[in-house]
Amino acid sequence: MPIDFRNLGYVYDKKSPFSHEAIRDISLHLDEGKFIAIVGKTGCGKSTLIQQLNALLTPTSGEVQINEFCNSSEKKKRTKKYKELRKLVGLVFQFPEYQLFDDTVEKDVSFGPKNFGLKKEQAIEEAHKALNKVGLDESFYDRSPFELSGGEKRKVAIAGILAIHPSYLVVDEPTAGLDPRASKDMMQMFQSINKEGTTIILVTHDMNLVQEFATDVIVMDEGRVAEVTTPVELFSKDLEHYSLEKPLIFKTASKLNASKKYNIDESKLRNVDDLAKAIAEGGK
Amino acid sequence: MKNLAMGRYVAYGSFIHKLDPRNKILLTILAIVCVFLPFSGYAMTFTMAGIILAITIIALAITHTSFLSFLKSLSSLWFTALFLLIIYVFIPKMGSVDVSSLHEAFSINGYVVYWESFMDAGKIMLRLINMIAITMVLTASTTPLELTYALEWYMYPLKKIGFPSSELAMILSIALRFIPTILEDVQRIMKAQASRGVDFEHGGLITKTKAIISLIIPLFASSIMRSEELADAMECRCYDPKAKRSRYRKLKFGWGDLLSFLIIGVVTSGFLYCCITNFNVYAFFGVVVI
Ligand SMILES: Nc1ncnc2c1ncn2[C@@H]1O[C@H](COP(=O)(O)OP(=O)(O)OP(=O)(O)O)[C@@H](O)[C@H]1O
Ligand SMILES: [Mg+2]
Repeated sequence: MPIDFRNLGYVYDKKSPFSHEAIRDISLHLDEGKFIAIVGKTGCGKSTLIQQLNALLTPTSGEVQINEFCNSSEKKKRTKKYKELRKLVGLVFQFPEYQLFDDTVEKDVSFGPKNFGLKKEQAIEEAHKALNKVGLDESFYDRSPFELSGGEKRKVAIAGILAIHPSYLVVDEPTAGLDPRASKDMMQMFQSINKEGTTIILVTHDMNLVQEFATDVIVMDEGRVAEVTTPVELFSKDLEHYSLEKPLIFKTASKLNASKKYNIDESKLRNVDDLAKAIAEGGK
Repeated sequence: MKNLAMGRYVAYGSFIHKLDPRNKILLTILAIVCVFLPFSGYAMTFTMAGIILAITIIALAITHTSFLSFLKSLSSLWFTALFLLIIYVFIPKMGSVDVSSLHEAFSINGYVVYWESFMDAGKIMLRLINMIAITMVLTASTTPLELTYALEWYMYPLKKIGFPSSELAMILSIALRFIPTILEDVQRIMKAQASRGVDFEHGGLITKTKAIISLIIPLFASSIMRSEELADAMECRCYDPKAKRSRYRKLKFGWGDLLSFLIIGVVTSGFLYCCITNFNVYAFFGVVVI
């Protein structure tokens, strides 16, 4: 079942002198099973938007429908079962490393599954599986989350949500601050669980990742949805207006095409391998 | 978050906002002294409390504090009110009090309840309300930082005997500066843990304790990290706690301060006069009240 935003708006500190309208009039339809990227410049309301999805914020106008759950500005329409909604929609925050608290990594990751009703042994098992997925081996199980590096903490925090097995996984800039290798692994892990049927909603500033992994892109601008497209369509347009950079392979391909020696079809490119192949074939 | 907003500083830039914080602290203390002065007779006591309340509400209006938020901050007092009433009604009147001069309200099985008990409870309630209103004027119109600077100024004489008043002011101002940041942290961590299925509102004692622990520990961790970063940043800028400091914004005693000081000064003198001479307007004009 899909996610439907209907004229959703959110104002921070409503009815106070500090009130600030972060997002307004969002109407969107997101299909299940997709890998959706949300992009837009800093402060355009991406984080605010995704927090509506598991009712951490309640809209100040309009509503969002996730399967049978409704998070609405009207009290009557609102579904009260927040816990079930949060099992359905797993949200990994920007800088999630600050939410770790238990004395071992293993216990911290199993905290989520336990909260959602799993027995201790099962929860630990889920924790191990999730830690494996993010690339942390057994040696990490008994370490304290506070003595890990920033990137490792990030992985533990993401594992903490993966262990819940949400149907929709929402991640807010998961790769910021990770080394290139780790961020690539992380994205491939998201792709593989996407293939297993989890809908991924990814907030990111990295257009290379968007091109390589996303099936759909939502462009936000000053609190509104500016465009709903696919990566190929988006990058073939002029992006100055949204202050977005085109992905590197896209830029390379257009420079090569401009030199007239090549004629590469940019819409077929997903990653460096595709580009290399296209160049080797002379771009026919 | 929401109820913390009551009496919180909002930069409206009114006449009272612009007063010197040192002056505002002094005036607040004078006003609170007035609140606690004893007067002869209940009628006189209530009249004087009413005068203070009226002046304070006018001041609150000048600072743009809405009357509604004032009432809201009083709403937490109802329990205190009940408590006071019970204490005053059920503690028997005896000893130094001349029971024959009291007025009986009603009696239960021979236990006499006097009107004076209610009056006393009311008197204390009014004092509390006045205290809250007066401090609200101060906090709504003065930034915490201004308050610390003013306190530092008052602590200046203590420096002579080796009291670290400017260091203390620095510590206070840093602590105050980080209150909103820490509140933001609390919200962020609560949201992150809520995403992991923590329910901060429902559940038994053990679930609740676990929920609170999942909030407190990351909060401590991030606060300690913050303080280390701040200390490093200050060190990098060669901060020396013992150095003599100048100020970007100098505290200045202006005409508005003089005017407000005169007004409150006259009121306080009047109150003091009434208190010391046991003056009672009602007796003076021959009006009979209790
Ligand atoms: N807790 C808050 N209180 C008040 N205003 C807020 C709060 N959080 C965010 N805002 C404001 O709402 C707007 C949108 O913020 P949001 O965090 O959604 O942006 P973002 O698109 O996620 O940015 P970034 O890419 O930097 O993460 C910003 O202008 C921000 O200042
Ligand atoms: Mg954000």
